Amino acid sequence: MMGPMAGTGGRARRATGAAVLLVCAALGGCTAEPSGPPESQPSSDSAALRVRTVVHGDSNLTPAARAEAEGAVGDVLSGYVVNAFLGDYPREDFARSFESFTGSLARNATGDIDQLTANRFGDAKAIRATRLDADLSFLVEGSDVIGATAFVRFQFEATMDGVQRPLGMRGRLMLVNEDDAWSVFGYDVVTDTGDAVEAEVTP
Amino acid sequence: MRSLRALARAILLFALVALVVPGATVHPTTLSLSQVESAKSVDFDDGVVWVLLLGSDAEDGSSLRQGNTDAIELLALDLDSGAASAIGIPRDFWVPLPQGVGFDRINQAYKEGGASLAAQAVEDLVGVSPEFVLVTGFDGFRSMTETAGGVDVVSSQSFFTDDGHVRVHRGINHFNADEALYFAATRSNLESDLRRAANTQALLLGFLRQMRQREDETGFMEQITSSAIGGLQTDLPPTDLYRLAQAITQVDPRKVTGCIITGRLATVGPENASVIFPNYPLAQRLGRDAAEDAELDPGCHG
Repeated sequence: MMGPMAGTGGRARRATGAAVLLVCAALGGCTAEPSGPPESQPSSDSAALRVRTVVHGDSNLTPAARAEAEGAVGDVLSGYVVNAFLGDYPREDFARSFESFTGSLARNATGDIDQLTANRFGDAKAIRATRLDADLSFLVEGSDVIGATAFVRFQFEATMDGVQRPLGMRGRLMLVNEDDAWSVFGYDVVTDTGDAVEAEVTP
Repeated sequence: MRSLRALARAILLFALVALVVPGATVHPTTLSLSQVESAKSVDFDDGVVWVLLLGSDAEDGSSLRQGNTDAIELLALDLDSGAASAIGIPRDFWVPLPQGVGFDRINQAYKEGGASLAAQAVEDLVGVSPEFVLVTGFDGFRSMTETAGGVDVVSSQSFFTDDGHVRVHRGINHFNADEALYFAATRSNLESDLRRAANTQALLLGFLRQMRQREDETGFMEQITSSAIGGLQTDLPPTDLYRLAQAITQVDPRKVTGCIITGRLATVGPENASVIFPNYPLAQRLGRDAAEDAELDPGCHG
């Protein structure tokens, strides 16, 4: 079993380019409770990353511990989204999207780079997020959050050759908290590139 | 690359209705489909992972070490290819237990020396060393089965369980936690103890299918892991148990093979206790087979 790639924690959280993601949990709310604070508005026209906890079992997880876990997982997710889909286009540096992935998983992810990033849209003029939702299910041991599944639904709009093209990714990212650092150790995602495939059938 | 990449081109964007010219040819309908691709990978360990599963018959509330491990399964998992194999070890195998314990039934190994002795005894028999040992008892088994929502098990024969008098049908049976336990523990109403080991494998396959079916339900993998943390005795830290649970869902039930090590019935000691002398060449052959790619060659004979 491998730990996350060395020295990635800070870089993974560094926002790049014009896209600014807001992790609601880190700002103190945006959970499932309707009484939560209002969402903050992103400073660009990209959608904000909305992180909320949907399951944490019958644990003794305190609201503070839950918010802390949401913030930490949200940081990992936002770093991934920025590196994998946003940033300044045109670009080619999609491989660094996996900095928060465990070592073996990062190698496998490189083989799935078309499904896990906007690699095919590297020539785009720009990509903006239209929807960034992550529902978290926590694994709690005692009072510690040690693992999580992020059920993600990401939607983007790429501008290529003057045409808007949709790009979507949904599915699960699996995370584990080891040595006070969160890393992604698994993914199970479906990507819709919006590519049209013509087919003919005779009625 | 071990990602599963099933290309599904199934989302219909629009369809143009064919223009049918009266009395002329039929024009084809043009469909435009969007391309959907999937990718899955879970990082646990590279290569074939060996896991020893032990089911203890210790009474509820007592230490698992006080019971006999009447269910013994050695699993080989290749999480890259999605293949897995199960080597069933009958509890009555008469073997020399290591660390100076001497000859005894293999189901006494855990009681005598814990996980390390049980792993060593299995290694001496099969020729491969289990990396992880997972032990459960009645309580843990029930808890995990309840969390899974019961289990569908394919039985190759119909019979009544020894306890609970549950009617097991040939074919698919849905068991709740108690029924699954009765199914796993039944011996006397079966042809032999080998059938019991085969039933354990059928149960494990049912759990695998259940996990794969529910893995994408919100909270399921966390709940089943929590249940496993409470219901299993293992050296694996909880985070690794979580990784293992997620990784197991990469195993394709169609790529699962299983064999039971056979042997020769015998009696030993002044009380003529019934035991089985293991077929060592078969055991070693199965170990070598599975070590390559977690797949057993066709046939379970030596």
